[in-house]
Amino acid sequence: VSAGLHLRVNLSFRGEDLAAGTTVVANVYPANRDWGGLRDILIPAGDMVEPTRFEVPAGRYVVEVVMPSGKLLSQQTKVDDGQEVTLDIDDWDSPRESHSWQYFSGNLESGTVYRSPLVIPRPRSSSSRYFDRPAADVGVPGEPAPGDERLVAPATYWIPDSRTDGWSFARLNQLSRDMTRVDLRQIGALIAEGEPIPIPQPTESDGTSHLYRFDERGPLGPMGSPGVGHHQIGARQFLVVTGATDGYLVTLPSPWRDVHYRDVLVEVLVNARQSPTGSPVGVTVRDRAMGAGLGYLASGALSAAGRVFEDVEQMLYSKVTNPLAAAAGAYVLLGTESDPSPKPWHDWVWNLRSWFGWMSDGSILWAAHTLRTAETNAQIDEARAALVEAYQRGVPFYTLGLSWLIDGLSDFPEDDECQAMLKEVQRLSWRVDTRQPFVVLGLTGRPS
Amino acid sequence: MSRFLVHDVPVIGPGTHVLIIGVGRYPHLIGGDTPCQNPDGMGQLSSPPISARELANWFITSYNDPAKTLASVALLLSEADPQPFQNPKTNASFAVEDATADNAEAAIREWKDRADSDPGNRVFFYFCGHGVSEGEDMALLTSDFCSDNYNPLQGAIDLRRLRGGLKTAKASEQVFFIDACRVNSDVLISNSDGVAGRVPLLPGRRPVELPRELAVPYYATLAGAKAYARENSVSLFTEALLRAFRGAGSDDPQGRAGAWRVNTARLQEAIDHFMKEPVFAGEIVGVQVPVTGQLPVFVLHYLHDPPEVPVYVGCDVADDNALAEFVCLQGGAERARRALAEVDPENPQREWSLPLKFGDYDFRAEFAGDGIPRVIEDFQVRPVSKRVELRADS
Repeated sequence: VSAGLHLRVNLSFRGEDLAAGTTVVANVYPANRDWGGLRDILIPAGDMVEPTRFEVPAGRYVVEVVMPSGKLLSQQTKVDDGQEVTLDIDDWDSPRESHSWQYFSGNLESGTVYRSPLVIPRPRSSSSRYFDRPAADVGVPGEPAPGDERLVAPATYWIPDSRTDGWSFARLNQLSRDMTRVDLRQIGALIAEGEPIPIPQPTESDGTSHLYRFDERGPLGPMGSPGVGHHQIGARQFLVVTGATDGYLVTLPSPWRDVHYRDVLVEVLVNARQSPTGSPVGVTVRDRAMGAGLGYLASGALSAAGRVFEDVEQMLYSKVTNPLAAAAGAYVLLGTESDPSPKPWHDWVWNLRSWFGWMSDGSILWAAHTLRTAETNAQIDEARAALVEAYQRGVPFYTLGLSWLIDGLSDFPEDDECQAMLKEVQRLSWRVDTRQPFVVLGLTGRPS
Repeated sequence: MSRFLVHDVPVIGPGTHVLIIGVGRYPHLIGGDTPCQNPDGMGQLSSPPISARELANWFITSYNDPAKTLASVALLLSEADPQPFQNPKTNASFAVEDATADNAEAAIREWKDRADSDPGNRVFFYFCGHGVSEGEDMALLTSDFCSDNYNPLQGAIDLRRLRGGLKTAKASEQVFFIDACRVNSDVLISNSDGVAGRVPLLPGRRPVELPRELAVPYYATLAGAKAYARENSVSLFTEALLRAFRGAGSDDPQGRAGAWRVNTARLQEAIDHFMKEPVFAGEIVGVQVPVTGQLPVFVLHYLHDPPEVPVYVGCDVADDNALAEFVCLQGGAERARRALAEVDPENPQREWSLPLKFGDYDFRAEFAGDGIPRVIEDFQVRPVSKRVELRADS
């Protein structure tokens, strides 16, 4: 006689767009090791979601959930013959309900840490997070007193329509090389079709962490009101985040459509809370089907990310709803692939390359796949051509794309053209936050 | 036998070859014998040689994969008080070579030659010491870093190019553990036009006749050695790695029919767990790692014994942790106790953390006087970790 285990993670995402929750990866371990249990199952997460039922033999179980933030949740339960047991596993430690998606995605520390009055020693490293503070050790003049860390919201500007050559490696390298202070006029001249548009206020803010949301028309103001009016939107959008000294050029994966072709909000967190770890700017998409996958991708949990993308693989690749999401899925599926046997999504990597010329990620993915599976020198030559094409198409949307492009171009040490391109890509990568899934470029860098 | 090897066993067919480098003594950095003009805030580290020795010991005594048995362990150390390394299996004693750039380069080349003995080989590369990183580039600083005033990076190994060079190695499974605490030399590589140190192996493409290489990097990327390196003990990342191998990173997907094993994905989850666990990671909790995008899943290690699991025991109200004696029982017998005298005076609310073997346990919180004990019975402890919350109504 079997029994039913009904599982869900209980947490709140503020906003109607996520009322139906999302999915996370879980494992079910039986106390009785005669049965192996369940691994890498998907369960719903949200405060209004119905649990998913799994058939199990009677017995005691430990259920473990891997959250995109990297947090592990676990709970124990007992199921008798024929019994149906529901297990709600709580994760309620977001610093603010408004910031819950960022907490869920791993961009924001837990409420306990976030609200801690402790002053954190600030190492002088680009991997630490601070905004507009001079690099220094703890205790230097100018250090804010404990609890006095609220900063004025940084100024942000939206670039809705960048120039086609605006995201070339040469152009973005020029931008980050020449600026010691953020110069909006120069940014506008180099990468935008028009003037960067100021965003007057974040969509939500607690005074330290500022959230900017974007729908298909552009930024949203407080309470979801229209942010800046109507503007012509191009193939690639950026956000410029500037403080007194620091500045970032942020890739906006917008517009983002879910697998049903509905518009999905893009959310940018500008976090001014000082921390020895973490990024000052984090980008997520409030996509209930794929958002968790992107979170897993960012935290390095590629295996869990692969599970999420596998679940929507058919929908992701059967229709051309969102090439950016398809590219994310392809990075994860290629990154976790252990055996070279042909898979249905391999064909889609070619489509990503050939159908979406504005996105260099497709060329990079196809080149990486081809280099791995090449059996002839002709195939190696094809991979090389795709890498050159990727460089010419410009900076990828995904940070992984930069990494894989460097890796691919490095495979051709005898090739002067590849080596020249490698130098430019490498140079740009020095300014990129390698912990973020989408490319976030530091504009002003650090003093030598 | 190579001067770098501390363990060498003839293996027919695929085997595992390990190279471990731990750099703590930097003569040309702050606190060294001859500090250079601009050490850029970097100084001596006590943790890396200890961490490297621990890991070498673990590989020699505990690493287990019957399909790729341990064939060799090479070790380079730079430590304040150099001591021989005693192989825990053979008791043979080895004078360990200093972790200079010359020695690291030679050791890497010899290790690559061993890796070339069979396409089925697995190689591990471990580095613990100072690191400097920018974007995709990372310099692993050897003990002679800054000995050359004209080019300090003559005393470093370029990790990205090392990984590129290993594409030509026959070994098809390549695992990298980079436990490099980073300080403030964040522009050293860009100022050197992208050169991040010496390149022991020329980069190149993987020959088409070889099986695809499955390469997995694990990074610590702890920021700021001064603030976060652990004095005279194993580093946080290496501790997490060792605990993961001892059981926290294991799983038994076949139940009783199969062995507990650590695979690449489970290892990543366990390391990530430790780095996000405040009781373990303290103030660096929540450290984010660079997105590597490479995690092909394969088994790295089969456990001989049931896994050892980190367990955190506390009351639902954290203040009560300072007042409780915690007891762990198994089969009615007391297995461990946290007495009141052991409450951490600097953090009395801290949970009691202890390693326990996989199995069922009872936990109690006992209070002085008339306090009612809190009890949880038949609590299963299994990887990755377990948190025991003793509630007032339990």
